[in-house]
Amino acid sequence: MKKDIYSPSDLESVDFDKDIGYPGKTPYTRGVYPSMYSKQLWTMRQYAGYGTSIETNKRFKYLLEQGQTGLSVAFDLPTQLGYDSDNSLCKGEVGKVGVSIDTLADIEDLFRDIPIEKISTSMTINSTAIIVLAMYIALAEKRGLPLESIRGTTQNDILKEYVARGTYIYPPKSSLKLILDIFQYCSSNMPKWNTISISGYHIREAGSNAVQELAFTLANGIEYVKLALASGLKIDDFAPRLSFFFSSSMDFFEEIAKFRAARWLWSDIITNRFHSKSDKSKRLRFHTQTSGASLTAQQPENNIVRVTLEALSAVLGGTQSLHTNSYDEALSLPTEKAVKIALRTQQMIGYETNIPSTVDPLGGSYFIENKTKEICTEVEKYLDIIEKQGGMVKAIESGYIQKEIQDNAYMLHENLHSKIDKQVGVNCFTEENNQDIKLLKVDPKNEVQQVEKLNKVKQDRNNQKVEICLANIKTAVKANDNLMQPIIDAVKEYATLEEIANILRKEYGEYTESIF
Amino acid sequence: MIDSLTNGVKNQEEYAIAKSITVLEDESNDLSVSLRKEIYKTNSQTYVLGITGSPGAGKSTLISSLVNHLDNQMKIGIISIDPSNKYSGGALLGDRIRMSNLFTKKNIFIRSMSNRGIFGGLNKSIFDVVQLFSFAKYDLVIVETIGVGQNEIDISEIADTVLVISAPESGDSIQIIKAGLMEIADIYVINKADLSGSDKMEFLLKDNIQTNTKNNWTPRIIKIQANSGKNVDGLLELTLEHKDFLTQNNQLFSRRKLLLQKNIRESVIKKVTNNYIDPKIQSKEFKDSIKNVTCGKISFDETVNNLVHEIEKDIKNEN
Amino acid sequence: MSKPIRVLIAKPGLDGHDRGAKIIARGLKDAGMEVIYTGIKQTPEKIARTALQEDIDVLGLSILSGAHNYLFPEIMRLLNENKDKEVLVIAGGIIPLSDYPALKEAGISEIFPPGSSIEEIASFIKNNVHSK
Repeated sequence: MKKDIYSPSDLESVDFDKDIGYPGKTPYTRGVYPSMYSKQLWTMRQYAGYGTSIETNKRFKYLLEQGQTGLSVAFDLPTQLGYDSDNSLCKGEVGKVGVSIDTLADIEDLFRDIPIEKISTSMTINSTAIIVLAMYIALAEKRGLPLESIRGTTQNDILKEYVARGTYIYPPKSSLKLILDIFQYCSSNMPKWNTISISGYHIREAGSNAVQELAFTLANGIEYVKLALASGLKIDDFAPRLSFFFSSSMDFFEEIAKFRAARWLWSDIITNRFHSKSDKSKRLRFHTQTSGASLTAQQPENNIVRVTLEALSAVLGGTQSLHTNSYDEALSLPTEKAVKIALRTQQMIGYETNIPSTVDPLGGSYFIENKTKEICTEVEKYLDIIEKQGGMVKAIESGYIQKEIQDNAYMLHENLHSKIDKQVGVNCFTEENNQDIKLLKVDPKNEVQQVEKLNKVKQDRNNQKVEICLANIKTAVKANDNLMQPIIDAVKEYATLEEIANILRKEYGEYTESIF
Repeated sequence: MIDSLTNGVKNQEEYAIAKSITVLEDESNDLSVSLRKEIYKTNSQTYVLGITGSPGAGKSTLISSLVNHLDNQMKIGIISIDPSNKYSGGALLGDRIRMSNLFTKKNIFIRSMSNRGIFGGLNKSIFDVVQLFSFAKYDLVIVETIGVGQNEIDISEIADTVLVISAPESGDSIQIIKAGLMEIADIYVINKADLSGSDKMEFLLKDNIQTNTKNNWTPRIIKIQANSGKNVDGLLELTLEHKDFLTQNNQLFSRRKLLLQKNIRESVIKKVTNNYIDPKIQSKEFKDSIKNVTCGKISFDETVNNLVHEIEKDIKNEN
Repeated sequence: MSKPIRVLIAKPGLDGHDRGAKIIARGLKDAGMEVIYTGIKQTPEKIARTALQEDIDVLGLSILSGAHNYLFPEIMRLLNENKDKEVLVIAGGIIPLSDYPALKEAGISEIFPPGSSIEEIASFIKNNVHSK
């Protein structure tokens, strides 16, 4: 229960060693590294991508020139759903919410003149993660780079797609098999690759509250760990490469407490449930994005301030990397100007405020510690409920998770319109004619160019070799073998994303939404 | 108007069928009387498959899977019924989500209906809609209802073959037995057969199975996986077996006559109540006379008899 | 009791952001309407066929993928092919103001940006559904 004032009595149930401790030590409540930002700032990583790979390549270079320290690729929906740009289902979608990728030729253009061995690249890709990662590996190998040097993350978190984001293709069981293939391949070939980014962001954006975001994300995490263990992997071989992704929204202190609680809970889960012996496995490292749902289409410049506050929560909560939203994103993809302001916002927090010089400056606050503990307790209640239902896959299949999220989303909507919750420019301090900003227009010609490029690649490649590679994938699917290598071989011959995805579609079937 | 509508339905034009359902659903619609007159003239009867079970058991998924196993030359009408909110009168009709792959199939017509607050059963308009599909010479009508409350009893009257579907995860079996679903099923379908608990469920259901005294059919049990289509062909065979059984025993469509009889009876009652009984009961005169009962001037039974006489007179006078 | 207004809430485009669509579906139900909800990734063909079979009064389109300038006119074209009756079409999602005129020209009656209330949408429907 929220109170006006917190005091030492609110810390009675909090034990310093068990609940708080020191940064860089279990239970990691205060941060995963001993010196946190005082030695090195978080990675400033703006999610970007639109149109063709050539266009996005320009945006990437621009961001790196502006002082961004990692790349984060947004893919368009056809790429995320395993369709090529010339599929009739994709009309109007090519290059819209991200960059369009059909073949390795697009990945080559996307990273042209960017030293991928020196930066880390994060990719928001899930159901087609294995194909896109294969293309990235093919690029590295073609450049003669050792895979051990390649750093980055594939989101690869399919479970949240079924409850919140919708870019699934295959049924859960087959999707999980693909994730496992990536785990196994990377654990022996790409030690610096984060194989999965277990994402609460989209669960939150779909309308859940902070506790639900955390509970459902950790429950997904538990499911992935169980999966990997069942396949014979050892906990401490893969757990250090698991990473997380959370939202930072407007309830300033609650968000900070949420991030701290997340670390405590994961450390506890990995230690007590999965019996890890390595501290590296127990560290919950996470990326944060400021909340898209908190942005308003009304008086869009106000969003700059919202993003600032949300970014500050993330930093005070100890994030490892951060994307700050652009002020125009409730209206369209961001312009270069808007993206620059968003990046500058992080840079100001990092370089001007002196906030990074102290690790977990709010540690010990009556309110923050009490709130952290409270969130842990609430999350554990949910985890129990999910466990009783037989785990997260069951809870998703029964619709329990979706229903919880939808109920909360509906409540938030009602609260906003009955003005229990306030939103400046939306239900108070409103103005007429309040959208007067310049927006990015994605050129519809991109779609035509992309299709032309795809046709050209198909003409120039050795189709006989492509056929052989595709047949090899099919054989591997039937034999239930690891698909990573056959897919790498195929993309090197410029097999298309859809050609590969279609083999899997045929063998695994397609999932359709079943719950409302 | 009515001619173009009925001709359209005869030609299986979707616009006409859709519009006609709207008319039949809405008793206040002036066209409904003449439309009903037309569609009940036909002798053609369409086989009706009823599917019921609790929410989440997999009814719509099963329909989708069943239809994919059938010849795509067959004209199939699917009626999917969800409850409406008794306060707002609104309804959220979400069954289509699980039938998305049927939306563009030329031979399939899907209509979502709410029970529009009429409790205690499938409303008469669903019977009318089934009749409409018969009139349009559809080959099959599938009616999907949720199995709570009294709805199931009606599906057994409207459908020639009733499938009761349940899934082990929801601990359905006890509910099914309690809710009386046991008595209406021609075939029990255990969905999600891959889940643990499906064997136990089968056992429990087998234990409670009884030969239907009405027609000597012993209900069958089958385990399937609706989402992957596993054993759906087996279910289809059982369904046809039941249909053949009905045909051989001259029982196919026989329930339809009984239902027609029942519906006519209910419509008569409703009409007489609205037009004759209620105006009398609600009249000031009658309300005043009630005190004569309480003070002993006239007996309860005499009051009833007097009222019946008056109503009889009214009806006679009107003719 | 008069016949309830029948609404189809459809999500064209490939995005899976159905939070808004589901809130609207639920809200319009509470406002006494019969709401048909068909899930994400609906093609224009699916939407038009559903509209025809369900004999709807209102079509609500929700999209966040940015493909509205192609998809909405395509949906309107197919709806008009139905020629059954005039359907009131409204839309919501991430749609820049500068796209409004062309979409309204194509036949979308009103566009509700994020932050619109259910009351607003329900009363727009009630005031405009029969005038169409």
